[in-house]
Amino acid sequence: MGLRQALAGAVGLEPVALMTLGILVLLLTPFLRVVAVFFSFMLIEKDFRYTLVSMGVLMVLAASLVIPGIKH
Amino acid sequence: MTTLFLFITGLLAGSFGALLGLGGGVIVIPVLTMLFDLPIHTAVGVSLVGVIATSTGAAIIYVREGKADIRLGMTLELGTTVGAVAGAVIAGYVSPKVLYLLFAAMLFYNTYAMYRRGGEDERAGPENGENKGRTGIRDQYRNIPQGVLLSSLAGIMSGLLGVGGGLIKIPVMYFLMGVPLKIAAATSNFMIGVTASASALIYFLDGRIEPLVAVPVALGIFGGAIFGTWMNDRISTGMLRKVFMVVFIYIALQMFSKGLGS
Repeated sequence: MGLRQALAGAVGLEPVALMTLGILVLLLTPFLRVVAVFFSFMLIEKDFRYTLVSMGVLMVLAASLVIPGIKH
Repeated sequence: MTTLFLFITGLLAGSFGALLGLGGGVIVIPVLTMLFDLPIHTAVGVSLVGVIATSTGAAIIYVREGKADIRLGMTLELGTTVGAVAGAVIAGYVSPKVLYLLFAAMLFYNTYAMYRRGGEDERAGPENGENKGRTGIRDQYRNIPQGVLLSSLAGIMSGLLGVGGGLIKIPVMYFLMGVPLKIAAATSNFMIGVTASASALIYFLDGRIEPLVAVPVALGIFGGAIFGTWMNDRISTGMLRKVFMVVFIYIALQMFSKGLGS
């Protein structure tokens, strides 16, 4: 099921679409964790080196959103 | 009905995984492929979802207890996420047979590592250390560039085989970088979710994650991991480890023969 299909289906409370969205939310939680670490290094600890390191990790994660694999 | 069995499978995999100090993936992938006859590529995607569900719960506890070294974790994460993306892309191009062979090899190594560690639990390791927190990792740990490079192997393994990769990361931190075992294990747990999500997002966006399988299994693994961790403090796991070493060798042989195409 594609993302667009899932979004459309979830509006109509279609079970599989809701599950698909639920999985997406779960998959994005580690992403949010890195975002939180990034801001904590930048704003609270003011640690420049590790702000850059966590930005690097964020960029790889962002890349994973656009790098296509193939369906097997 | 199948949904119920899938949930129970996840529950058992999560419980035993936590009792043995492994992720659920090592157990759930063989069960999904051999008992439920799912393609191994589907099983890997499902397992990744379970890995993330478990680590999201576990990481909160470990970080709060101050055991995981976030700076060390983030640094190694540069390697594991790149590896995980590579692994997920490669997985799309290799045949199921290759995955079976790789999984069998990983299981053999896993069993060997369990054997070498004996009945000992990771948490009861000989070396305990306090997390120095704010001083930065450069002062305490050595071989950081090599550590990042080797961590990318853990990432590739995660993206290809749907497991957490602690099997590689913990020894790399402990032996190569001089990280105390407790901190290495906690940091590895903190990293697993981030690594897995780098590959899982590729699987997801390709439509390679089957929601009707992934949801019951992941929920089961999540619940099982909580139960297993709770049990781990209350029972001795020496005998269980021995039983599972035999089971793992049997599964590895099965997968090996599947990989050779018999």
